[in-house]
Amino acid sequence: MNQQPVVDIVGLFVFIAAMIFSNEVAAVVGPYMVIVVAATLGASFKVARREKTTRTSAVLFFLRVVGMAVILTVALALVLNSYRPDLSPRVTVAPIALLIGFIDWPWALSKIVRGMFAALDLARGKGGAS
Amino acid sequence: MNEVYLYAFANLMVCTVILFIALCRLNAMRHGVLWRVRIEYACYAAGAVAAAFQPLWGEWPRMGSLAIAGAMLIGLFCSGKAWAGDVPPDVATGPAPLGER
Repeated sequence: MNQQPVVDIVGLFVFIAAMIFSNEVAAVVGPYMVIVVAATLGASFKVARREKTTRTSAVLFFLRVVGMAVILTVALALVLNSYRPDLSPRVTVAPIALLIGFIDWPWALSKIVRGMFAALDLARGKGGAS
Repeated sequence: MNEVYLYAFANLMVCTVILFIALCRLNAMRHGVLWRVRIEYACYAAGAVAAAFQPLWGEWPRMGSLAIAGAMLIGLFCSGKAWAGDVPPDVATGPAPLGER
């Protein structure tokens, strides 16, 4: 019952392709492909915006952003669906993945926090010249 | 079936190289690079990912897919000299502001 050894290079390529594109893998990964493609599009703009780095660093950054989109998109789509039942996750996953990939999150978060502190200072009446 | 897998594997390899080249050029972009150039390479990257993994949603690449992916790759190789040293070519950037020398 031992499997036949793969002896030729064509057989090796067929073996690798069958591993990557098997039906079992497709059933699990297939639905995530929309997210991956949308996140790729968003992350590409983010790579173009950031400072020039080494190629390896750029590829790793790109993989990090796409990975983050894959992890967060479904959860965010489900949260949105619980607040707005008319927005089905099937519709919202692509724009959410695109936004996660596109937006520069540290910059956006620092802007939000700065705005919150500015609003706090305004409410306390200590803004402006003293 | 083996032939289908071979086409899929070859397509995956070609699209991986397209994605890598597109990422390298996106990484080389700096302030002043035209939006249409950014959009071009972002679409190359997204298209390469979609084409590379199309068997995962049941569409197997054949000779036609491989041909257009190969043509894109050759096009990227041909424009390689313009992007040598990871520096965007002049045609990819807008004019510098007046007074900047």
